[in-house]
Amino acid sequence: MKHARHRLLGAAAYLLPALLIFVVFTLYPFVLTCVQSVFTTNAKGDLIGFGGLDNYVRLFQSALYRISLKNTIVYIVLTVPGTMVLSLGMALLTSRDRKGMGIFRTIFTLTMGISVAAASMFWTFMFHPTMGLLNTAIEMFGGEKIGWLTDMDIAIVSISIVTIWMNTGYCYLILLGGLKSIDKTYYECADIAGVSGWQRLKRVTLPLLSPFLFYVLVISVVNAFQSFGVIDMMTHGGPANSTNLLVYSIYEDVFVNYNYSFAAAQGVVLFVIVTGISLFQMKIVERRVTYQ
Amino acid sequence: MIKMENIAKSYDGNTMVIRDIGLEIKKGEFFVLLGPSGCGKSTLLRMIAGLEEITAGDLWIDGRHANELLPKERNLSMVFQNYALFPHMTVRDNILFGLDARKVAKKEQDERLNKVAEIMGLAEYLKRKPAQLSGGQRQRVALARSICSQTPICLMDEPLSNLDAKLRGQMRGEIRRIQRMLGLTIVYVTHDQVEAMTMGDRIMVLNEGCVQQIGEPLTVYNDPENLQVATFIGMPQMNIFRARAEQEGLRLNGSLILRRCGGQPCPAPAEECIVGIRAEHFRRGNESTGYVLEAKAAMVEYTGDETQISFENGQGYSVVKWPGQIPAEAGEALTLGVDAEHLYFFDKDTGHRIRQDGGRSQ
Ligand SMILES: Nc1ncnc2c1ncn2[C@@H]1O[C@H](COP(=O)(O)OP(=O)(O)OP(=O)(O)O)[C@@H](O)[C@H]1O
Ligand SMILES: [Mg+2]
Repeated sequence: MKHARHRLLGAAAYLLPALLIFVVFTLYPFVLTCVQSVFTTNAKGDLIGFGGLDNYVRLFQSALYRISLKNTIVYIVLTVPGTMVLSLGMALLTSRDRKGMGIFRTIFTLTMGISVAAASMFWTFMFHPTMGLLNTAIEMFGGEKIGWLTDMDIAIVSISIVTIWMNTGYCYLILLGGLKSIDKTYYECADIAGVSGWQRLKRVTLPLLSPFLFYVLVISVVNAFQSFGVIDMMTHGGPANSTNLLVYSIYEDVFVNYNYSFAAAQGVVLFVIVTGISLFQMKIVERRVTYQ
Repeated sequence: MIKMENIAKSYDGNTMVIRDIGLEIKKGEFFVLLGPSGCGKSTLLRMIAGLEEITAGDLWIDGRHANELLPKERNLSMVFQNYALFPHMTVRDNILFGLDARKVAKKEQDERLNKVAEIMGLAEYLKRKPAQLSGGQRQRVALARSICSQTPICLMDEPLSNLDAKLRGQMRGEIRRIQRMLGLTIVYVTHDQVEAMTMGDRIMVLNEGCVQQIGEPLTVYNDPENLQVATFIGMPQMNIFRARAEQEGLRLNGSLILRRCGGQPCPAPAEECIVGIRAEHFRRGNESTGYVLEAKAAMVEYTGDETQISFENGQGYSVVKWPGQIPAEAGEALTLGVDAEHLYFFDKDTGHRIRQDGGRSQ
């Protein structure tokens, strides 16, 4: 009996620091946000009256919110597969140990060391309507200039390109490590059996890489939902809200419109969406993952 | 079926891992590559499979010059030490792996699967994943995959080394049975001499990349070509002594004397050489034929069905082994008899066997 209590105390002592950090920095703000979302607030953020589900009702009636939800979906559909296919392709190309492969591996991972600010600046120049490298090149080949960040239909694509460019380095590194960790005898077995090319990729490489692909998928989706820096620096959600994503919309409601409780409601909805998708990934997608 | 001429291999262009190997493996033969760890067994096997480039020499498989053939063009299968079963596939898919690529019709695949599953006793596990199988069952699946491919040649790299002793014994017999039944040509790599002795039609003993001896198991055991082979094959290891010819017999390691009895010639082919005596070739008691060794028992061990007694030999310990449970105690005086035909002589420098043609008179 005494012994058991002793052990419990010991366990508590070890857990306490992590628990404390979780409570102070995660649970408390989360609860506060939930509470805030069912009240009305003034411009200073004080609770001034109980609003019930008013904020949520308003949220689903808001055209702007629906736009930012749609934008976020488009953004995810563009960036997640884009990042995964690109980083997988690069990892497959450079996974063999050949002379000079190190150079490519280094180049492919370079973007990991570049900050959002620097990347945004670089790409703002690239996308510049008249002086940008992209349009200059297009004109040289006789094409028509593209309003990378000014065209309502293109801007979200441009933002996605930047996101893919920034995230690929990290995902590439994970997948390269994953490919390297696959036991060589699997490939030798395939060689002897005459399974090669696309069949080998489909039946051997990808399934054995699946834990790594799954990890990359999960973090890419979460990253996409939380994407903020690039938008803030390159488009401020424009033109005409065409790149206004969920997190950016929250930011605007807090720091531009001072509409705290409305932003809090958005935060809660975002939390529900991300949790839902994560659960889906863990319950459904992860079933197809085989850990070795 | 498989023929090698002057095969050599170097990974880095400097050190030779395999040197000048020539051999011919017949159709339907169970050929064992035996040798200590790092001697190049796997390398040789992988060169046959086409997984490793051949640095020099020629390889023929089924009459075709095979140096440049791709692994899949060699028409062989391989069982890996770690089995290489795909964790994401069921047993069934693992066994059938590669048959699509070889353009085997679905119906034929099912027939083969059913037959092999029956032979290997895997019928009830076909829907499981490898992780849900025991080590022995996994081993069987790997074997089944190899059989299912119906290639005439099957290469195996230490396929039993991950199993416990009992299962290993069982699988030894099973592999041999299936090999005979299907008439497979098997090249089997092992460092376990028991596997080599019990399974092989012929054994090739390899050491540091060089062939030491090729022959049938009992020939290799009874008639080793050199010290390497003599000491590598046999449990316990053959007893080895430095021998010097003297008036009354052979001085072993400068201490014990192997005395000749009644009119025996001095056995040694040279003034100084190395003599080897297998543990089971020592006779008990003082018969007046052959040679006699007087020693003092240092330790007595019973395994149940046999007795092993070790004695000091001036440079360590030697062992005698007798069937049954022989009453003996440490410290006891031993009188050991050996027949002339059971003395193996080796050159003291090269380790080559020195054969004596009949008796030599003094
Ligand atoms: N890929 C490689 N690159 C360089 N050297 C290698 C490589 N593979 C094996 N070797 C070397 O070649 C020699 C023979 O290796 P090999 O794997 O054929 O030995 P083995 O007889 O199969 O040993 P074991 O019984 O331990 O499996 C060893 O000295 C090893 O260090
Ligand atoms: Mg090996």
